[in-house]
Amino acid sequence: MPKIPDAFSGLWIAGITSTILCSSLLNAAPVIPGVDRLPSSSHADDVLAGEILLGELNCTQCHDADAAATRIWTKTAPDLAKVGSRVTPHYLRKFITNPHATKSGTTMPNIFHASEAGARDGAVDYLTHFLTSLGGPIAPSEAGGTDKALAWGKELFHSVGCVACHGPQDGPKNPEFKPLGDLATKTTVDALTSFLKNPHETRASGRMPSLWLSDDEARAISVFLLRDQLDNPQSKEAPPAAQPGLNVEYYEVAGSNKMPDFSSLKPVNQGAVERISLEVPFKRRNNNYTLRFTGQIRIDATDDYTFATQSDDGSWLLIDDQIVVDNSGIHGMQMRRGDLNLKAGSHKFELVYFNAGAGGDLRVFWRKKSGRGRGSVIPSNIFTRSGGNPMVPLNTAPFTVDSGKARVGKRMFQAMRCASCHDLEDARPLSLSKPLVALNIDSPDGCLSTNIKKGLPDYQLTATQRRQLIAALRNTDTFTQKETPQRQITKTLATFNCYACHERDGIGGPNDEIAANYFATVGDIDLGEEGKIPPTLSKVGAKLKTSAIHSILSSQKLHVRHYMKTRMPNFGRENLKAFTDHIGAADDHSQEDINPTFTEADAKIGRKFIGTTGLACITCHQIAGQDALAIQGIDLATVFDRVNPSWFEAFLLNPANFNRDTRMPQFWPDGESPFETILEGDAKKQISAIWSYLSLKNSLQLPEGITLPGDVAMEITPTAQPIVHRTFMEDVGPRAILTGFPEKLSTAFDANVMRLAKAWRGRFFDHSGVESGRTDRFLTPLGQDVFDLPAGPAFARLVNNQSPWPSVDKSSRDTGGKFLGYQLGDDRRPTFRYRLGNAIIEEKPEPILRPGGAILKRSFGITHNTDGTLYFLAAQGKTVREQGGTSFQVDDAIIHLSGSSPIRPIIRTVDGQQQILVPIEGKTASLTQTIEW
Amino acid sequence: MHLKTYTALLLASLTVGSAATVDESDYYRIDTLPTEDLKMEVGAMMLRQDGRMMVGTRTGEIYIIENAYGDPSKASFKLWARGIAQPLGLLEHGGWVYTAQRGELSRLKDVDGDGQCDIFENVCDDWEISGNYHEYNFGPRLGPNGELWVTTNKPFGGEPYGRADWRGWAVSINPETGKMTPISAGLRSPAGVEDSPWGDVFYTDNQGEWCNASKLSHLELGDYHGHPHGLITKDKAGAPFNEFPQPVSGTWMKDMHLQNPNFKMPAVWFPYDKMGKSPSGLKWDKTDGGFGPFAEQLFVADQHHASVMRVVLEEVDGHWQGACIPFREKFQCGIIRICFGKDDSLFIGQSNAGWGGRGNKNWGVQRLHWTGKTPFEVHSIKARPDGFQLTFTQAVDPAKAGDIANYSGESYTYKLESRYGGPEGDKKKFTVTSAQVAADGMSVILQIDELRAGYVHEFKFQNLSNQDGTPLLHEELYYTLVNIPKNLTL
Repeated sequence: MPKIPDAFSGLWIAGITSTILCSSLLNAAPVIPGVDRLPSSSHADDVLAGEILLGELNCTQCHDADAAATRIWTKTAPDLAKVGSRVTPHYLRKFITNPHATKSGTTMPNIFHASEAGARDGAVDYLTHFLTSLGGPIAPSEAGGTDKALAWGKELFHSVGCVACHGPQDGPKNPEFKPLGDLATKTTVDALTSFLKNPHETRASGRMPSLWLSDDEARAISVFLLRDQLDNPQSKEAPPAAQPGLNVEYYEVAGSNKMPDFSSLKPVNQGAVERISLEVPFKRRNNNYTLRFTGQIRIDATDDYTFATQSDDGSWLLIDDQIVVDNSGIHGMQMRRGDLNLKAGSHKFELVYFNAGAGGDLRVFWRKKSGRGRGSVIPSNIFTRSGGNPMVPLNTAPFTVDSGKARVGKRMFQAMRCASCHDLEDARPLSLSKPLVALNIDSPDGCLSTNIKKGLPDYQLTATQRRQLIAALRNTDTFTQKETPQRQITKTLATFNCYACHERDGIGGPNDEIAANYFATVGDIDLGEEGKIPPTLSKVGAKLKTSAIHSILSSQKLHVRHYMKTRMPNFGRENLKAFTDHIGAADDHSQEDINPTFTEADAKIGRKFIGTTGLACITCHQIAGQDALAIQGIDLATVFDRVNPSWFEAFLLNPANFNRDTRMPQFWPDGESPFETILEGDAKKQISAIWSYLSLKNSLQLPEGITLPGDVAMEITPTAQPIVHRTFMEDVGPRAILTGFPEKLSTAFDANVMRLAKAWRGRFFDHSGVESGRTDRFLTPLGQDVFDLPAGPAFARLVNNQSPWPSVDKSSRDTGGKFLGYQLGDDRRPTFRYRLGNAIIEEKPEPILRPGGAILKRSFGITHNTDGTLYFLAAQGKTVREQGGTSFQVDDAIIHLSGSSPIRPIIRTVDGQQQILVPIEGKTASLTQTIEW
Repeated sequence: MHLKTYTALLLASLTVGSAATVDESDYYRIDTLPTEDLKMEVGAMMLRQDGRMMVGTRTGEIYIIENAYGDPSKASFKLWARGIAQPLGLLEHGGWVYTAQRGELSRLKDVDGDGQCDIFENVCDDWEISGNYHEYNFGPRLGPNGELWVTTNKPFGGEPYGRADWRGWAVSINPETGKMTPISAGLRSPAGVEDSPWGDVFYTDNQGEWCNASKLSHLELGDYHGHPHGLITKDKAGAPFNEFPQPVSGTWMKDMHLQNPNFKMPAVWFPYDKMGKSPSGLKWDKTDGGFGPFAEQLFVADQHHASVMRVVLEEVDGHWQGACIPFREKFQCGIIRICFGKDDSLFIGQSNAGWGGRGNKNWGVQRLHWTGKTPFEVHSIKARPDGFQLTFTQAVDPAKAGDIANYSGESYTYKLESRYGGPEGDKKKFTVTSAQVAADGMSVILQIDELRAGYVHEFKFQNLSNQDGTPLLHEELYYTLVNIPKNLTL
C-alpha cells in the first residue's frame, strides 16, 4: 500500500468510513446469512461457499447444471401463481424497478440495471399488471391491529426464532441479518398471516421456515411487522376491523371473592375462541388459573335480559363494564344469575372464570327476563372481537388490472427469463442460457463482472461473493463428484441458516448479543444457558436416532424443550433430505441399533434410580407427562424415542463432555456409582437399567416421589399442640404466619400488614410448596369455611371516625405497624405482638368449641398513650345489623365485642361497604372479639 | 475435584518399590447420623456454647442433636422449634438464637427451659419479599462492627418478581435496635456467609447470571460484587451505592473497577465443575490441629458435588486472595452447611432439594473425622512477584519437586455477563521455569514464565511424592491471582 501523507490520512479514513456507511445502509448485496458463518480462509472454503451461492442465487435456473452435478443444489424462487393476492401493485412496481433499493439483501437480481428509465418503467408497468392479475389486486385486510397484538407480535418475533435470522427489529439494522424489506408497503395483515402460517406454500424451498405459529401468533407478528400501517393516514379512513369470536386471555392466578385487577396483570397467553369454553387455543394448566373472555355482544332487540353463569370455581359476567352475574368464590358447579336491560346494538362483553383447584367447568346462558328456566347457551355468532385498528398498506392507490397490459406483461415475464426462476405453469421461459459448465466466467460484461451488460441480471454481488462463485465455477469438474457426508451437512446448515441457532463443530450458534437478549426460557425459569440456547449439533447424528431426526424436522412431537421460547422451525422435510441422509454417516451412528437387553428386573432398578430414593432425576425432569419436583426439564419418557442408547450411556457418565455448562450432574464421577450394592455398583449396568425403564415410555410406572396434581404431599396436622408455621399464603402474603389448633380451627396472620387475615375450619394446610424444593407457591387453606377478615391493618390511627381506613399496598408495608414477634404460652398458643406508633398491640387468636364447630376468639391487649385516635376495625361487610348490646350480624357472620372498658362501636358506610370501628380508650385496654360464621 | 485412586501408579513409586494407594478416606472418615425418619434437609447448623449441636431445616424445624458425638448410630434429633420459613443460618448471641428466615431476622429463646423455644422476636424485616422461591436469606454472622450480617438472594425470573428491594445485598443489623445498614450490593445467590478468625466476613456466591463462575468474596462496606439486581435499591442505600453504574455485559471482571471503583474482585474463583458447581456453607478450622494439618484454613462445601473443598487465603496489597484445593468428596448428598463440633469433627448438613446433585440421598447429616493420619497434600500456597511458593504437609521427594517437568498449568479469567455462567476466558498455558526445593523439603518456590493479575492460575502436579514415595492426594490447585505481590513478604 502506498504511503499516504499524514495530511491526507484523515480524509482517506473519512472516505473509507463513508463508503462503508453507504454500503451498509443500502446493503444491496444478497444476504445469505448462513454462508457468512462459514470459515473463509482457504480456496476450499471459497469453493464450498460458491457451490452454495450457485444454488441460493438460482444461477442454475438459467444455466443448466449437469443432472449429475449433485454438489449444486437449487433453491426455487417464490411461487408467483397468486402473487397478486398477497403483494400490492405499488410494491411490485417498486420492487421490480429496483429490487435492491426496495428490499436490501434480496437474492432477486435487478433486470433493468442498464435500461433507460423510460423503457424500464414501461416494462415494469406491464409486469405489474400481469403479476397483479395473478389473484389480485390484494384484498383489504379483515384483521387490524391492537396495542396488545402489536406488543405480543414484537415479543414473539424476538423470542420464537424470527430474530435469529432477521435480526432485532427494535434497534439499528444490522447488515448480517436477512432484511425484511418494506413490508408495510408490500402486503396486508391477512396475507402476511397466512404466509407466516405456511410459508412453504409460496416458498417451497424452505429457506423461510414455519415456526408452528397459531393463527393468533401469526397475526400478532404480522401486526408487528406491518406496524407502520397503523400510522398510515389511509388506515384512519378505513372501516373498523372486526372478527367473529371472543378474545381470551389466560392468567396463572386464581381468584376467589374478588375479581382480579387485570390492569396490573400480564396474561401468560392469549388468543381467540369462537365460543366461551375452557378449550382454549394454547396450553394451560388445570388449576390456579383465570380465563378472561372479551369482545362485543350484538343485541338485536332492546329488552330485559337474564344472564347466568354456572361454574366451578367462580366466574363473573360483565356487560358494558358492569358486573351482571357475580358467581365469585371457590365452589363446585354453581349457578348465579343477573338481569339487565340492553338496548339493541353492540355492547362490551366480558366473562371472567377461574379455577382454584380440583375439577373445573363453565357454562353461560341467557334468556329474556320474561322467559323461564336457565335459558340457552348464548349463540356464538353474536359475539365479535375487535379486529383492532384497520391497517392499510402504505401508499395504497386504486388499481384495476388492464388485461391487455397483463397479456403483454406475461410475454415479457417469459422473454426476460423471470419465468426461469419463478415457475408458472403457463408461462415457461422462452429460452435458456448457456449451461453452467460452458460459462465464460472471465467475461468482462457477464453476470460476475462489475460491468454487467444490459439484459443480464445484476445481483449486486460483493467481491467476496464473486470470488466464491468463481472459485466454484473453476471447479465444475468436481460438481459431479461425491461429497463427504460432513461437507453435505455443513452446506445444509449454512443454506438453511441452522447456524443462526445451533453450533456445530465450532461454527455457528447465536452471537453473544442475540443470545443474551433474545433467547430465553418460558417464564424465566432457572435452567441456565441450556434452557435458552438451542442445543449443539456436534455429534447430533450419533446422539439422535434416525427416526427422531426425521420426526424433529417435520413435526413437533419430539420438540421436547418446552421451556425454551425459541422453537425448532419446520423447513419442510423434503428440503432437508441432504441432512437426514448424511447426518448419521457424518457422526457415526453405527451404535444406533444396539439396544441393551430389556428385562423387567432391570426396569425396576431403573425406576429406583429415577425416583427420589435414587438419583432423584425427577427433581429436574418431567416424566410421562407429570411435572418434575422443581425444574421442569425434558420429559424422560421421550428419551427412548429420541436418543441412541450408546449416547445415553456416554452422556450420563459425564454430561460435561457434551456441554460444559450443563446443570445435569455427573452421578457417576470417574465411573464410580453412588449405589455400590446395586448391580455390583457397575455404572454401565446401572445406566442400562435406567434405559430399560425409560424404554417403557409412557407406560412406565411412575417413580417414587412424583407428586400428582391434587396430591396433598405434605399436610401438616396439629394433634396434641397448636402449630405455628410461617409461609406464603394467597390473600395473606409472603409474611403469613399460620396457626393450626388441634380444635380444627386455623388462622393466618399477615405480618406484612399486621392483621389477622383468615380463619378456617377443618384441615390445616399442605406445605408441599416447600416440599417441591421451590417455594414460590402461595398456599391456600386445606380446610373449609374460610372466613376472610377485612383488608388493611386491624388497628389504625384516624384523624376522626370518618377518615378512610388505610389501604395497604406493597410500598406502604408499615401502615399497620412494626411486627415484633410472637410468644407461645404454656398451651403453646401464640400471641402476636406489634407496634403502631406508640401503641403496643397484642393479639391472641383462639378457638372456642361450640356445637356446630369451633368459632374464633380474638383477645387483644393494647398499651398506648390515649389520644383518641386509635381505632380497631372489627368487621366489614355488605350489611351490618345490630343484634343488641355489642353483637352484630355482618353478612353471614355474628360478631360479638367486649372489653375492659365499655365498647362504643361506630358503624359507618364506605364505598358501599359497612364497617364497625371501635375507638380504643384508656392507657391499657383489653378487647375481645368472637366471630361465629 | 476428581478423586484419584492411584493403583500401581507412577513409575517413580515403582522404582522405590512402594505401589502406593492413596484415598481421601484413609485420612478423613465419614460417619452418617441416622435421619431416615426425619426430613432432615439441613439449611443451618451451629455449635452452641454449651457444646450441643443445633440444626435448622429447610422445612422450618430447628433441632438439637442428642448424642451428637461418638457412635453415630446413637445420635437423635430433638425438636426445639418449628414453623420457621427456611432458616438458613443460626447464631448464638447475647442469650438468643438468631436466624435469618424468609421474612425477617428473628431471635428465638427457650424462656422456661423446657427444651422448646417459646419466644420468636422480629429483629429486622426491612427487606422486601415478593414470594419468589429464590429470595433466600443467609446468616447472620457477627460482623467486625459487632452487628449481625445477613446476605440476601436475588429473586429469580421475570415479573411479577424482581422488583423487591434489598435483594442481592449484604446488610448489617444492630441486634438491639434492629436498624439495618447496607454493606455490599451485587450479590447473586450468596448461599454461605461466615466470619473469619480475624473478624472479616466472607461469602460464597453461585454461578449464574452476572456470575460466570462461583466465587468466595470478602464483604466490606461500600463494595459492589457485580450482579445488577440489587442496584434497584441503590438510591435507598445512599452513598456510595447511589453512584454505582449499571454494569455492561461482557466486561472483564478484572477491568470492572474502570466502571465502578468499588467493584470487588473475588478472593477465590471456583472454576465450574472442576471445583464444584454450587458453593454453600463455609467454615474456618479453629480446631488447632484437632481436624488435621489444616488449622486456620477455610473449608467450603458444595451442594452439587457433595464435596468439601479447602481454601487458603493471603492478603496481597490489601486484597484477600488465594487458592482452592480439592479436599473430600463422596458425601451422601449435596452439602448446604458445615460446622465443627466440640469433638473437632466437621458436621456436614445436607439437602439436594430443588436442584440435582451427586450422592444417593436427598438429605442428611454426616460427620467428617480426621483419622489421625496426615495426608500428603499441598498445605498452602503464597504468591510471589515471579511465581508461587508451595508448602507441603510433609517433606517432599526433592528430586521430583525440583523437576519443572512435574508442574504444568494455565491461567484464565472471567467476564461479567448477563448470560448464565460463562467460560474460562482468555486462556493461556504457563510454564514453571524453575523449582527450588527448600532444604527441609517442606516447600518449593516456583518461578512462572508469565503471571497474570486478575486470572485464575490452575496448577496440575504430576509425579510429586513425599519421601516415602506416597503421591500427592490431590494434584490440582486453583489460585485466583488478583494482585501480584510487588515485594517478597516473609
